[in-house]
Amino acid sequence: MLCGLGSPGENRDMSVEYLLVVYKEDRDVLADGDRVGVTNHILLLPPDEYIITLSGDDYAPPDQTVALAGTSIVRPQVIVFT
Amino acid sequence: MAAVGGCQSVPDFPNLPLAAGQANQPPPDIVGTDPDAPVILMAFSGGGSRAAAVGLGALHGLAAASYPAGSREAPLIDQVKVVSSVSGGSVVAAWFGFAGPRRLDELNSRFLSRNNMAELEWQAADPVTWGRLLFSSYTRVDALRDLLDHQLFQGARFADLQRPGAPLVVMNATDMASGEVFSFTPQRFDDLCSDLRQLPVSVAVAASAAFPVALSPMSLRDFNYEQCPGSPPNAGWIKATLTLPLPRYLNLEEYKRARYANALRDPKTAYRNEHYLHLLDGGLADNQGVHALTEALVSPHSQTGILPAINSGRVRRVVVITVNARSDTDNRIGADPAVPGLLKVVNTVIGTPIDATTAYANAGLQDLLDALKSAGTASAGGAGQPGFAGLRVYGIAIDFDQFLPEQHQLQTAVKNIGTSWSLSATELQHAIDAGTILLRQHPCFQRLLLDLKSPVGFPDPALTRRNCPFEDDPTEARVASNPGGTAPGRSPSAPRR
Repeated sequence: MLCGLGSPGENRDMSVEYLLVVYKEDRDVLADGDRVGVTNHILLLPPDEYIITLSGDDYAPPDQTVALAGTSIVRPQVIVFT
Repeated sequence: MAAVGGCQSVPDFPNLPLAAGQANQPPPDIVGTDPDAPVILMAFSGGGSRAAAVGLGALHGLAAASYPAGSREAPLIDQVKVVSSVSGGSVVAAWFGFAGPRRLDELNSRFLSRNNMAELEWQAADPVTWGRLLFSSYTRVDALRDLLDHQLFQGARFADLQRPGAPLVVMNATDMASGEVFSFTPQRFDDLCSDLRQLPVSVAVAASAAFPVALSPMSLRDFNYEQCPGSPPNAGWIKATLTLPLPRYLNLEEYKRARYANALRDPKTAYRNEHYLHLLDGGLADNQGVHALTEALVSPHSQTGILPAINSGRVRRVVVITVNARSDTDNRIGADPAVPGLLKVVNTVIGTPIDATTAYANAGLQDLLDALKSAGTASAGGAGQPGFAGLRVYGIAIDFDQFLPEQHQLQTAVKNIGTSWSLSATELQHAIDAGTILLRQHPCFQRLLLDLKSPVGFPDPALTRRNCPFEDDPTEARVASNPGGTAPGRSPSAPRR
């Protein structure tokens, strides 16, 4: 997935990736501490590597690092909290 | 004045530190409660008074349009939520933010119709000015700043831009030390531990328009390098971006932004000393204001909150209008066998890279808007139904090359308006008309009005749909009528990279 890092001249700012954060109930999803959406719904984000956490604190693991590149809406990056 | 002002002097820095324990107030909620109300973002390019007048014309076009919102007709101009601007574009952006839509036309009488160059030249020749330049902290950019305050803002500060319903105005300059875009936003001023609300609006406009050599840089202080009494919020994304292994590969532009923000916030780990920021014309780094507009639209760390609103379905209609008022005068270089002189070479060295960078940035923005547009019409299927399903994105890039053949006279007239702070009455009217006409006849602006069920009459709604199609349009509406073979969803005017 990470092989598609783009050519040197390409501005990765100008594309979008897709992330799905799965949890047993709806919670806010935070990327590097900033709210970007809610769990259990595919989210749009610029390509990058993010530290993902949820609102509240009764979930595990406490955070997950995810690299978003080469995803699509039918094949989002999926991470699961329990 | 240039020779006298060429000596280095320490200016009176116009920005103040945050008060003890304070941070800059983030912008109020931009998104609102109606998901189908359009969220309009605009970007005004540089180009002196020409750019300001074209931007004014585009705003006129929005003010003349409305759409049914409940029991009333809502003016489209009230849906402008973010305005990013550079140089001359910052004059109209700041005035719009300060005075509001009902007082837009005062920009004409107060500034655009006046011979501002004569006033600046008179000041430059005044021995009092020479004395100030030599013996005080007065610098050449202060002359422009004084003119702006005298004619438009009368000392108004950023706090005065925060009217109810006012758009977020983001004026952009270029940091000489790093070459980075410096945006006058609450977030950036948190990075400086400086109070944006207290900063005069004229400082930001003058910084955004501080054309090199003609004007001196506008200088600010970064209070993190002294003692920061304020308490700006923690920006976790900066540390994450700089310490994780992959951001510098996956998104180099975001990595550089994090590195720059870190240099402003943390002198101990700064990659470059940014104690004093010397700001020049924003056009050196980005003459369209695209960086700031993109950040406002899709950065997860932007205080606009637009990305989470898109992800949760609170915004279903995004309109991005870029107004490129670039100069394209008939320089007659190709008609002359003589080797061009130094002045023409210098003009080319300055103008060509700016135009090329702007074109590249605009094309990149169009790619982003196309990606968002596709996301809105794609079906995910299975688990995780996206909140952004049904998102409509209207990319409206306005450029002087979009005039129709029968508008050749107006096109020639506006392309030959020079870049300065003075316009003749005819030039002013041509530039305003250009902005209004180019917006109104843009296929995706017409499609927006159609989709909003605006009372504006359309000769042929089917043609309007074909000229600015969406992937989920009924099949018969997507039959191409453009012999250029425009790809579905892409504005006919946008160049491909």
